[in-house]
Amino acid sequence: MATWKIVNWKKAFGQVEALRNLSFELKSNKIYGLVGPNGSGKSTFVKAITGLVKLDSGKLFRDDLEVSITSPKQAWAHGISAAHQDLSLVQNLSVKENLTLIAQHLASLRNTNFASLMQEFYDALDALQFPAPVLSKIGYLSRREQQIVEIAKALGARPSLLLLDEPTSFLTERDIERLFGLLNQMRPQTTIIFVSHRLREIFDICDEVIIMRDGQALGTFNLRDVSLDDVVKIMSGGTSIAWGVTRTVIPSSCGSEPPYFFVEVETKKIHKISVTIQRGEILGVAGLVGHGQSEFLKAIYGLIPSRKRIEINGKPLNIESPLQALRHGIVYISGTSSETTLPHRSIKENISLILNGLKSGFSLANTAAEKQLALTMVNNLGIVCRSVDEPLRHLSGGNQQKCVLARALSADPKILLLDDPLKGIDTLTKAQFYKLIAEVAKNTAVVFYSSDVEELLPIASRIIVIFEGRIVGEFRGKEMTKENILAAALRGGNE
Amino acid sequence: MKLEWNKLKQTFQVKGKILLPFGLVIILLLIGQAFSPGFFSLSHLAHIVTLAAPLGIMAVGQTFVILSGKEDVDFSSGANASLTIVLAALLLQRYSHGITTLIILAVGLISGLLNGIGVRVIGIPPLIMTFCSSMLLYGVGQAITRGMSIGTSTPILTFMALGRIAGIPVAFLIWMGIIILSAVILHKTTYGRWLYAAGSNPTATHLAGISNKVVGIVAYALSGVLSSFAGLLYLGRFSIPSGFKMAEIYTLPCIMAVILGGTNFFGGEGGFTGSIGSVLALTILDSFFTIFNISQAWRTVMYGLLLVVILIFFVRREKLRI
Amino acid sequence: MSGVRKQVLQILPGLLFLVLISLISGILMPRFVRLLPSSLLLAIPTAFLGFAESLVMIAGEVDLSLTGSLVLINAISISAYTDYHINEFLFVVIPLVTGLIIGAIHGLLVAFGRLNSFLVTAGTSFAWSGLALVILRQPRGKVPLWFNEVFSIGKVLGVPLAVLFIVIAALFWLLFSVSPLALKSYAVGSSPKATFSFGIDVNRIKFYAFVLNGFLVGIAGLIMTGIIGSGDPRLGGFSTVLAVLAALIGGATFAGGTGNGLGAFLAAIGLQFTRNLIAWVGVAHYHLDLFYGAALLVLIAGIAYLRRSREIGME
Repeated sequence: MATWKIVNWKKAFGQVEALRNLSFELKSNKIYGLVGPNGSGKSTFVKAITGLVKLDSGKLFRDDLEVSITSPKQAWAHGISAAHQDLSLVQNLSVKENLTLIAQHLASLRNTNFASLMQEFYDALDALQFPAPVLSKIGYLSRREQQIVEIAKALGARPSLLLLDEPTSFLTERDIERLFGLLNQMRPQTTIIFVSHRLREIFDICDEVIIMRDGQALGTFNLRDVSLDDVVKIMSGGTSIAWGVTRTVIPSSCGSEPPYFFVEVETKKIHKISVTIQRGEILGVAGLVGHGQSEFLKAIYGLIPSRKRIEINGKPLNIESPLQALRHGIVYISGTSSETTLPHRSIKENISLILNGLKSGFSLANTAAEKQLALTMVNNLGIVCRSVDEPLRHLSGGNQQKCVLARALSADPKILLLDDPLKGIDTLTKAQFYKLIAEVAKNTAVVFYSSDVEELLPIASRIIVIFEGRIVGEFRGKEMTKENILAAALRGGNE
Repeated sequence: MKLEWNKLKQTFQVKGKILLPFGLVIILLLIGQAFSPGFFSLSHLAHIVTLAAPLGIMAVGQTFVILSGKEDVDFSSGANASLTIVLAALLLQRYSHGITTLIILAVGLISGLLNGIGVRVIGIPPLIMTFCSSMLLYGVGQAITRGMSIGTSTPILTFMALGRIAGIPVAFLIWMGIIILSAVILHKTTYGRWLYAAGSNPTATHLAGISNKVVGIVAYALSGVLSSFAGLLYLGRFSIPSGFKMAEIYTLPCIMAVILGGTNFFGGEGGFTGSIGSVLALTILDSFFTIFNISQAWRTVMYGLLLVVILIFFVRREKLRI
Repeated sequence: MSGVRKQVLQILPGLLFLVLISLISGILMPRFVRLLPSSLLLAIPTAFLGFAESLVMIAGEVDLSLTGSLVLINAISISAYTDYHINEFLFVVIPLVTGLIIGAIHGLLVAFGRLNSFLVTAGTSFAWSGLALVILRQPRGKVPLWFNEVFSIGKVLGVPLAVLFIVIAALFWLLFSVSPLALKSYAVGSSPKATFSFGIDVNRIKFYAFVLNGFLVGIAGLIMTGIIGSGDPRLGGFSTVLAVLAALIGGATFAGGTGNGLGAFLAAIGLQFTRNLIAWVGVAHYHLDLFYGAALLVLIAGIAYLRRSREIGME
């Protein structure tokens, strides 16, 4: 039971300012929701307060006494524990061994009995109805099971400050119910911060909500005083962004013509997904993260082994590798910059990567052409940079992603596969992306998967929802609403 | 203001990386001049360059390998050169220079391909693979020589290694010729683009349809060929092959030269220019050892320590808490 | 799966390998069984090296300085006794302390200096072997009489030395594997960031791994010095590669987080026997290293390939 004060936290990663004068207060025995758009700094905050990230500057007060957290050890010592978004578990060890490591540590820290600490962990696992034996290796558990362990690890430590960073994305409805039950039980002894994109859940379990944007806290609000729409409005900056993009309306196909793009995919995770897209169409793909959406795109692109049928204009294609996909005009980009960017290489090299991949290794590189292409792209896409010879890492995240998009566009794609491309991009750049994608879509077909349904709504012609490797819903026109899609995603079927 | 300073620092870092080794060369020459007048003279410089050339050629091959990936390194450079020394000496007794060179290069190519396949196709970590292939190469050398010293250098080889044309060491011309050729490959061909991409981010490279495997295999092959070629120069210099491990001591300096020359050990960044300076610096350092009459044993110790020092400045793991 | 069963499963590959090679040797080489006590003893130093390497690989690092360290330990021990006439009963302590110091140096450089372990240890290998040469200059020196006696007789209190050492190794592994340090080492090797988030000092664990490694290398040096009875700065050969390969057979990977010291110990003995086998097959002395090197490479390739296909299969 303690009160906490975060005062002026600042943290920059290179050029990117993740936390910018972050300040707010936490009173004891409350559950706080922490919300904010992608890139607002929520996860950075969680990492900083658990000692994983070093702040550039800022103070932390516990019960009005200044404390400093310079390592995870200290965070644990102050009674802070967290269930991290990208799970913090030792893959090669069993559940029991992972918990043992923490229990051993806590036992010496708190001068308590090791066995009783382990029992707390086991109790937490039981309360969440953890389905696997405790001796299972973490690496062999499913994402959901690992999530449960991660949560139990944080809860079972009986912390005075508990942080849960996106804990529900892989949980079932029942799991979430049980979790909330536990959190309610813990409320008298713990201050809880619940970070999530799912505003419904925030409203269900939290007492107050802290809204973050661009590395700052915009305010703390009592959830009885604000509505969900209020929160969304504050998050997106008060004004709803006029995307200025019209949804593409696809004329119904005249039966006899073969569809522009037809694909049927089957992999270990995907039972059978079959999709037909017309030229000029943007197909949105939605659903809970990890249910096969990304797999689907990767399978089409030949990145993972699969059984599939792909046809463009009725002509069947054989695609076993990215190179073959590219040769047929299918281009793939993802939003994970660690997968797509060459940070130390120049902008023009990054943009020309696919074109260079299509050439023969013996051919001469054409620096002039690369430069010209880059300049054209910089112009058309509005990439902010000093020169195209600059290393890519000098650019902001949004601009780097624009370069990745430029790379895809330079290959003159017939089909564009977008795998969560806007993850972590700021709102303004997102708006620019929408315009660009809509432009590109005029002459191609686009398959656009996003972990955030909001990103799909402005431009998708229609949206399919994938649940556990199957299409469980398809929405177009007026039915294409966030509620419907979320409902289908969570429940696995049309409402 | 802060951005200006950062920009300045960054430009300095990039240019600095390449200038550093040359700066070192100047410093070392000055030190040498202090102890041994005539050190910092054109004629002595020519001599140093002659000594440095084979190492410089091996460093070019090593650069290709190190550029190609996160852990990639070729520990078999010295072994390739060593094998060449004994093999060439043997072959030259019976065959022409042309055929001998072809065979030598073929052997280098095969060992390079072996390395590349072991690392990129089978998945053996580069250090282990190239170390093992160096053992194999020494083994072949040992089997060929059976402890005897067969053959010697020829006048042509000796001229290549030690001779001068219009005052300029032939070895230097060969070295620079190889650097120019390699620079063309690196900066002017599509393969060069692939190489930089693969070293920067293999995932992104794979996504763009480029085969990391092919890039790696070619890089190791180039290193094999170049280090084999360097062996010819060594034979020209040493004249008599005494043992099957004559070039073993050059493996580590070769790697150090590449790192010191500004190429990022983790791949994706770097080139040959810096390696020219760092190879010269290391050669001068080695000549210091000769001047100060430092025994082979102590030299080995110092090279080991030098590597550690270079690592401290150039190759460090990132902190756990950023 | 209980702890004991897990241990047995981990040791199995190394044990089976040793048994297999022994069987083949026994069938092909008529004097194998008779020579067993001495060939076993000769293999023990390498076995400890394999054990040592395992510890470091479990923690996610690599030690390539084994050959150099071994030679240096031998040199320092011999020199201390022959040149500096230290008390002969302290003789046993020298290699162990030297090993600890070497291990500590590596630990400092890799764990706290954050240097790349394989490059650093490759470098120090040169430094150590060079130092050994400086100290000894040529094969020479002697060991205390009582020490020599023990190794000449090959038995202590009626127990063959090799057996004694195997028991010591087994005990050492047993003690280690049940200690909290072991669990932390596996954790550090498997997922250093997650382990760090648990509040564990990752650097310190890696440091300990290197120190223990150094100690075991010290034991190997001690035994080797006893076997050859003098100092030889030119020793080298495949020790490092053997140790790494043994660790791999014992279940370690270069990614870290797995491995078994006892399995590696047994595997290393098997690898030494393999060399004897190749030598016996009639390969000329000059070809021996070539064939042995090739055999080792094939083994490494095999392991790497199997691991890789298993990983890809799990994708």
